Amino acid sequence: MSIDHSNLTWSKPAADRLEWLRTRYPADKQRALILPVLHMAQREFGWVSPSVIDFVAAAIPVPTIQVEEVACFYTMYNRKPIGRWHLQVCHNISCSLMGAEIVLEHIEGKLGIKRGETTPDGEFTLMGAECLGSCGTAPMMQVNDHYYENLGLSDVDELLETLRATADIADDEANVAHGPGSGPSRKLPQDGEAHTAGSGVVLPGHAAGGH
Amino acid sequence: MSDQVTLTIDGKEVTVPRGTKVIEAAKQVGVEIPHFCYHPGLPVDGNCRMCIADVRTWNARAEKHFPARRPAVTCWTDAEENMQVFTDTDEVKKSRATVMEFLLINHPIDCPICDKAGECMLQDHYMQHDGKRSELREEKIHKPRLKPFGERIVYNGERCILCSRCTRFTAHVSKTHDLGIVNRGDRAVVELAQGSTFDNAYTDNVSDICPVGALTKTDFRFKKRVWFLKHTDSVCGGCSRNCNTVVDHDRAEIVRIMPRRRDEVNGHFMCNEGRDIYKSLAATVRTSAPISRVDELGAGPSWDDALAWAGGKLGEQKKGGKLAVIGSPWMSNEEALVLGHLAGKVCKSAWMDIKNDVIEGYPADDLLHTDDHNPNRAGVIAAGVVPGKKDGKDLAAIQEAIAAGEVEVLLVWGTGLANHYDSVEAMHEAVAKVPVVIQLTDAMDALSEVAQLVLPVRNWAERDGTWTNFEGHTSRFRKALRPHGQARDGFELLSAMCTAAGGKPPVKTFKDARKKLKQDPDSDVREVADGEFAFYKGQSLYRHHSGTTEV
Ligand code: SF4
Ligand code: SF4
Ligand code: FES
Repeated sequence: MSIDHSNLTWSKPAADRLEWLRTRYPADKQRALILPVLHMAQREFGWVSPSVIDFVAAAIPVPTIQVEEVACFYTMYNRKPIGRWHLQVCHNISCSLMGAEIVLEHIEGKLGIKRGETTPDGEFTLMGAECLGSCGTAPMMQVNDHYYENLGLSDVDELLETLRATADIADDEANVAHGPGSGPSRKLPQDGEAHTAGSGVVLPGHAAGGH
Repeated sequence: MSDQVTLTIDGKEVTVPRGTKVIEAAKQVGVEIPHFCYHPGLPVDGNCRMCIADVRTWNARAEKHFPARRPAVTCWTDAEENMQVFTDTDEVKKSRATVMEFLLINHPIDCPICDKAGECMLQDHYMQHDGKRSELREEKIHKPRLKPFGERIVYNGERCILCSRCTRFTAHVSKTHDLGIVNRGDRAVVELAQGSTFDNAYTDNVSDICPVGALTKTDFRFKKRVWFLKHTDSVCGGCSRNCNTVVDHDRAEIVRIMPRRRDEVNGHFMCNEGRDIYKSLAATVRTSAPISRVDELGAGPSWDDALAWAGGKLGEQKKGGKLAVIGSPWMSNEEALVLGHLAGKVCKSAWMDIKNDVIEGYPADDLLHTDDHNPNRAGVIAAGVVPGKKDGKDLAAIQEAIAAGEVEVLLVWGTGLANHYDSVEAMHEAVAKVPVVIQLTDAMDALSEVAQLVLPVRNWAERDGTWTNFEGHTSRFRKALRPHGQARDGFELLSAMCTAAGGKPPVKTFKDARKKLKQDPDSDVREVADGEFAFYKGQSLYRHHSGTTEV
């Protein structure tokens, strides 16, 4: 679902949301729109390309450099195109203790890419992430806006299959209109099971979920 | 609530307007608080933490000072009534040293090849406030070191301390929004906005205000170690703004021109054209001795003969009224005073005006540049060279009179008479009708090719004088370079011409001229803050700290 960035326009819900967002900040503080509008743009256009930066700057409007500064500061803005599914495997301390590295290596092997890369078919982008705030259910990964927790390697396999089989997500309206984490939980098929079924990667010498 | 607050800084009492930052209040009692990101010409950012001090606020109800929980940044903190500020407690000194240590973690310390060395705040603060060896045993972070920002500026990311002065300049002063800080943590660098070419008229200022050598000018890179430079207060003649400047020179030539703080004229900054003016100055064709085209004098007359001849010709016009005087907006006020007197009082000339010497330059903008590319029109008129003073006989009338063959002696100061004719040939044709053309000039031009007598005078870099800008502020420029050949000082030469023409000069000395003009070249009232940077007390080092020689 690569999107042509040479001629950008907002979808109707995004355009409406932009107007609504404007009303939330005082007239002289419209600069504060940069964050939410960038998020929105990323959802609309897939990634924050230089053209998207120009587009957002003109939409708010603020000088381009201010949008660049913000877009470079936060890692949640993707400055490179990413795959349809953005896998972010937490490898901060809790997840590491619970085998995040094993999960990462497993996915790398399975998809044939290294972290930071995208599969040639554009389906998956794999990244390591710092603490995603889900230590109690380590190891975990975030797929697009969704958490998958207590991962076992078989859960991962199953999840990747499910994702691959899931239809395009671009027309999900709720997704456009809300920032990450703020939207209604968008369920994938069998999400309920995939979510909690696993019990962690079994590290050598440890019982599953052993604490 | 009164508009003034009184506080003590290191025990010294000072009263300042409410809203003054502590760092500024401290300057007034001679306390220099070290800083990097603070610049009086930019909005406060408070990111470097170098300016910390122990600041204690007064609690009126408890009737005592509250001890500070931690040191405060004095560039952010407003001075308050009864506040106590201590800038050199052990704790403050330790904090400063720590800030320095952090700033230097990834700094390349390449001072030996850095153009800023010698006027670098990081260097000076290190010597004064840190002085330790590096504790770092790891490889330093590498960043781009040779990144062009437009044609005039080169960025070195490793030297940058991310103080954001340059980005604040483009955001708030030039309002061009060219620069920003991108990425984060130890990867952060200054970056040119996508699509920006950074080619506005004020780009070089970012190099001046950069506290370190991260932004260097292509015009100055590797040209000269700054400690070999001599510094002379000067004024830019590029337009009628008269930005106050410092000419940095090496006796025989100007190496660069920097802005000098003058709040009511140019603030802290100047334009790029003004900086480049030394190049056009160096490119002018000069004559080192008088040139004559009259038989009595021969081709290369002595100054005495030339003056006597010129004085004679002018003296003959005392009654006749066939003398036309064309002054120049490049004259100093003092010279204009004497020329006005020579023309009006000594010779009773009927024709008098000022020409337009320079007609090309940057367009006017709403920051500094004006649309008059000559410095001193206002001052020359005020000092006595009044266009059409007598019977409205101004430049147009002079041109008519020349064409009609009514002018017998034409006295011209400076270049550019041809600007008032369709072409150089047209000008040549016109002045051919005047029997005696005398040109006093610092540069040769089309008129010098035909004038009967060309007398070389010193240019602005070679003489003392004052100019008055379009808003009426007078600024003084001083002699920086050795005069070219036998070029004479304009004030002194015109005074001598008064005498040679059988009259008396209006004043005896330059000082008397200043008195008579009753102008206050405010730039004469220089505080320490204007140039002598006293990091090393007792040693008078002239520094372009923060570019605008502010402390
Ligand atoms: S380039 Fe200079 S002025 Fe700009 S942020 Fe870096 S150190 Fe500060
Ligand atoms: S604004 Fe005018 S006076 Fe100031 S530096 Fe530029 S040319 Fe010179
Ligand atoms: S000068 Fe005050 S924080 Fe930088």
